[in-house]
Amino acid sequence: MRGVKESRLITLGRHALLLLFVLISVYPALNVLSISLRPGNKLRSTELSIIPENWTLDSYVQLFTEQPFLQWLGNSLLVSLAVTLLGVGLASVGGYALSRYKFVGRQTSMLAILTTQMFPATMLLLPIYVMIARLHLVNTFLGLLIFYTATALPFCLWQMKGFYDTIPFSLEEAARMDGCSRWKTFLKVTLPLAVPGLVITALFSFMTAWSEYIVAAVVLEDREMFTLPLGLKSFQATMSTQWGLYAAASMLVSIPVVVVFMLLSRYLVSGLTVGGVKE
Amino acid sequence: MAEIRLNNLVKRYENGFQAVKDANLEIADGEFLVLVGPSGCGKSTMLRMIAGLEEVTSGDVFVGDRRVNNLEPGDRDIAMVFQNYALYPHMTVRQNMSFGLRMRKTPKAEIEKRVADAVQILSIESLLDRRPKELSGGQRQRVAVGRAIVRQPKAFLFDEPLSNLDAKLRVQMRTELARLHQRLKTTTVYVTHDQVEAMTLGDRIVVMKDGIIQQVDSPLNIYRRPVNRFVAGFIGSPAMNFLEGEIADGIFKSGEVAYPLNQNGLSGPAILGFRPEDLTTDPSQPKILDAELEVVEQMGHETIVYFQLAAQPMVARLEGNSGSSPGDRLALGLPQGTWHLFESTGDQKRMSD
Repeated sequence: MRGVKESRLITLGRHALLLLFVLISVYPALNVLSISLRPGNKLRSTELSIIPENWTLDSYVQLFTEQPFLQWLGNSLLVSLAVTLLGVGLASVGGYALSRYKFVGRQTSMLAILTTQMFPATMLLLPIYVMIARLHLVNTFLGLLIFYTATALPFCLWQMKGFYDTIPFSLEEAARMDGCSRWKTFLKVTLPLAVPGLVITALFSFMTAWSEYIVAAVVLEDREMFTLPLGLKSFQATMSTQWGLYAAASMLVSIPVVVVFMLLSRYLVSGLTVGGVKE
Repeated sequence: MAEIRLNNLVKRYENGFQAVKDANLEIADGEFLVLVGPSGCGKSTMLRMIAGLEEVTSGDVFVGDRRVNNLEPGDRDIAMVFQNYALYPHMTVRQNMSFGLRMRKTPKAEIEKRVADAVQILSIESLLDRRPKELSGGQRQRVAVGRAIVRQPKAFLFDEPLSNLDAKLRVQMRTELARLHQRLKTTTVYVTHDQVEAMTLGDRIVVMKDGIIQQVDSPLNIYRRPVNRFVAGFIGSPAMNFLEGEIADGIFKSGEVAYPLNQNGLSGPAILGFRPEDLTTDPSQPKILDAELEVVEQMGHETIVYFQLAAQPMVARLEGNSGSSPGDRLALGLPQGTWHLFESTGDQKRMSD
């Protein structure tokens, strides 16, 4: 493929640089793995090997037996899945409207939606907390759900709108000639073609909820209501931090996300509409 | 099968642009009607109004005896073939073709029979389980046509269906469409900007310009008796030559050209139109001009020569291999009865018989 052969030195330099970046991104994760396997509660160690000599799964066992880890996992899953369903559901129809229909204020509302993304979440913390408090939703999953969906939706809407824009309108016209109503056209033709977009949107919604800490810390109060990030942080007490538990839980929290990413990666490279029309 | 009628059809967009202006048209049952014109002339808009994909501003669309203005596209019993095929990428060929029937809750056995018939007509039996992206352009086109014919609709609408195919395939598909129409005899409205398609496919041709129907007639009548200069210049390839001049005492004069007209009652400023293929080197015909050839294209069976007259480019199509070369002077004649005269003002309407 390459026309000009580059010098060996440049190749070496390129790889050295890449390795450096890999090291920077992988080292912290490996370090956490290492801590989680150490016996006792040691943050620092003189050992260099990733898997310590006297490694043990005690921290993991403790997590499930002595700590409400499963409870937190359930909470997190419940909230994250609800946010995903709500986010994808709303974004799939909302994005469609923004993409296909010309209505008064379309441009303005799209800009307004985008603008909300400019504010940092911490800035919205207070006003939304006040709203949630007035609605008596403090310390409820519903309060958290509203908060998360509201912050994830703008991005999801834009994402879906952009995706629908790439689906040729003539496909929908063909479906309408074939006897579909608008709604049926959406369900039978547009939505199936938007699956890659839906997957990305779902992933984003899920991640937003799964790894969020600050909002959850404000809304949730009881330890048994905690989501995983809150639960993790609770190992870090003022006087002593249970590093082993902290690290073990961190590993367990990351795994589902990594797995989901790997499973869905093929959708991240879209290409489903190829061949239907010729432009 | 049904006739289609358009009464005072108007399409005006919100920005005030009028795409179709007061169109009246009757398309007979079983007729193959071609809408032709330059891009932006309103032909596609008109087709889409018949389909129901474009709202009608005013006027009526009838399919059979039914006024369909307010019917959903799917309720009009019309099938359409799109320029970009618009096959559903996530369905196989079989699913693509049966989609419309499934939406109408046609019995399964009936669907299978119709799909089988259609693929046999179009000889695409082997493609049934493929997806659109695995098909070539010509195959996709066939599937798109197949999707229309399985519906057995009252009418077919084609929106420039061949414009995405390469030249050779286009000719092949053109004859196939003609054969298909002879076999099915379904009322067809066909939009194209290609005048060869218009001439070869249409029972009648509708020439449009700026949203206005210029002429509706059989291909040969449009070729022989264009109603105005626009139609004259649009139909025919190479295009008709035009010469602005003046008629006095039965003679058309323009610069060094003085051509005697064998028709009385014509006078004043006029535009003389003559087709490249009507010019001849035959000395027995009345001479019209001397051409100094600029470009000579030897096609084998014919020679196309380009020259200038009064600073205007002209073309002549001469039979056989003329042996002329650029720089040669050629005396060209124009047989009586082959020329056309148009008004030099306004709509440039036809003056001659």
